[in-house]
Amino acid sequence: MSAAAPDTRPVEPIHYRYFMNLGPQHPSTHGVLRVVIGLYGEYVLSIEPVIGYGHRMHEKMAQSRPWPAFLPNTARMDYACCLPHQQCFVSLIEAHAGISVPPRAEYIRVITVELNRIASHLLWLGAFLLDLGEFTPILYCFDDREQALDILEDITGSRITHCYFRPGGVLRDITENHAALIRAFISRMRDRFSVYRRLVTDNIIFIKRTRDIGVITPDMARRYGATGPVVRGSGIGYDLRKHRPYSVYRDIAFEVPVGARGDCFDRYAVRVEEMRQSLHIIEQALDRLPQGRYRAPVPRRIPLPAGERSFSVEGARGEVTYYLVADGSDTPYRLKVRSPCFSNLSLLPELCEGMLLADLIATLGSLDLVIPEIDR
Amino acid sequence: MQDDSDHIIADVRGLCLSAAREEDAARGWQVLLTAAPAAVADIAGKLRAHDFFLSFITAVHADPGCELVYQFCHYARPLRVHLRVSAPQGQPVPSLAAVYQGAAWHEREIRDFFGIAFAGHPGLKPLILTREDIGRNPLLKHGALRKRREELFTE
Repeated sequence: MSAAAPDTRPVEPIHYRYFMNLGPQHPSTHGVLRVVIGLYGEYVLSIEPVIGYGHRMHEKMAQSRPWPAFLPNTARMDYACCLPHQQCFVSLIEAHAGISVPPRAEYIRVITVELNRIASHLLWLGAFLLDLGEFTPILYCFDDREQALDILEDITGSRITHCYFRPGGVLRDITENHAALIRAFISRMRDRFSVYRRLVTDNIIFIKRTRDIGVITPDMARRYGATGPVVRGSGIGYDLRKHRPYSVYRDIAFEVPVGARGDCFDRYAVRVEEMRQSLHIIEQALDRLPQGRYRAPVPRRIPLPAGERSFSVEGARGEVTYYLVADGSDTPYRLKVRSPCFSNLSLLPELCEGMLLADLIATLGSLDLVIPEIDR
Repeated sequence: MQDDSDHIIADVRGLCLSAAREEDAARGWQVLLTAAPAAVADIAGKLRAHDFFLSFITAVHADPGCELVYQFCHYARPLRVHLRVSAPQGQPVPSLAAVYQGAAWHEREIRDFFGIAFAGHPGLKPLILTREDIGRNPLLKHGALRKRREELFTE
């Protein structure tokens, strides 16, 4: 399976070109995404992503209610990894209204966000391999993901759409029992990486399907604003946790894995290594978890002073930015949500032109798209 | 980092109405620019030459018109540039799609939500909304909801 169409392609008579809809309901689009593909045999001549099927206008909702009522919405954009979205929104409000957060709360936030990141990467890993026709790994991934979700459910009260962060802290404290469960999960996960290596990384079929397929150059990443593992696979170590540390990431030691070639395999390798780093982060945060309040006393109604502000965090898929314009009331005048998948998907037409259809599926899977986050 | 932002400001100052280092570190950006619509593509070109990428474009509807907001980031340096442009009413704003191809989708979204047209855009059709929704512009504000520009943007 080669990456590009041969140059000896005959001049294309128009009736040989046909169009095919990938989606809006298709297992490999991971949501309601439609991609209109122009094909010449098995070769992809044009790609046009069509989005908006899951549009709910979260930004309008944010502008029509007091900001605490928007907290549940932040969990309903990137459903696979919602806590970074919530952390971003809450941190933005805290910075704007001048609310201070107790250190214990910041550590609890980091622990839960990283658990969420691992759960999200596991979901991606299983689904990505399913796209490539490998059915077995998703069973292992979901087994591991269940363990993380069970812990998150115990802490936050919900399995997927966690609404756990509050301005000034978190909803509930984590207990010794939670810490023990998380430590057990960490040691379990560490043993599992060798299973994934034997099952996936060393699998010759997987390597043939992903090596040198869908190469994103640093220049292309820059022109489209790609972030997250998509850009780190191309050798650019852009991770906001290191780049402009927020919360307590400055005090925690971890590495930002990067790829060398920018192909589907590198994006896979980066995400697997990120899971390992997240375990390392969680372990340090548990070791250092300070005693004290988990939530600062905050008045019920907090008006937002007039002015603009933005806050960025590193989600599982890249840079999440919330941009706020306030007018002095407690309802945001304007709230913009910058979702990483939006920019990551926009490079698909340029990236996949001339590819084989099967490689397009591999590349689409390697971008780790969550469509409700794009549609908002 | 301070030198970096001064370097950028010196390079784009001639194209901007105002260019300053942001004093409030928690604001989210280090460089604040305001410019006329005609200069947007040139400023973006300069920033691209400095290896910035486009994080997002959005708009804010105020009185008398929409404010366009552009944020540019850098992969290697912890720098964020915030560019604000007052869009003229009923006139298109130059598109950034030739400089940053990723801008094309952001501009289509803004056309959906605010009805702002972009000149030189490769295909300004609805992105999030549909063809039937053209002209609805759900994020425009009316009546008392709409605030004056000076009330929202203090500098």
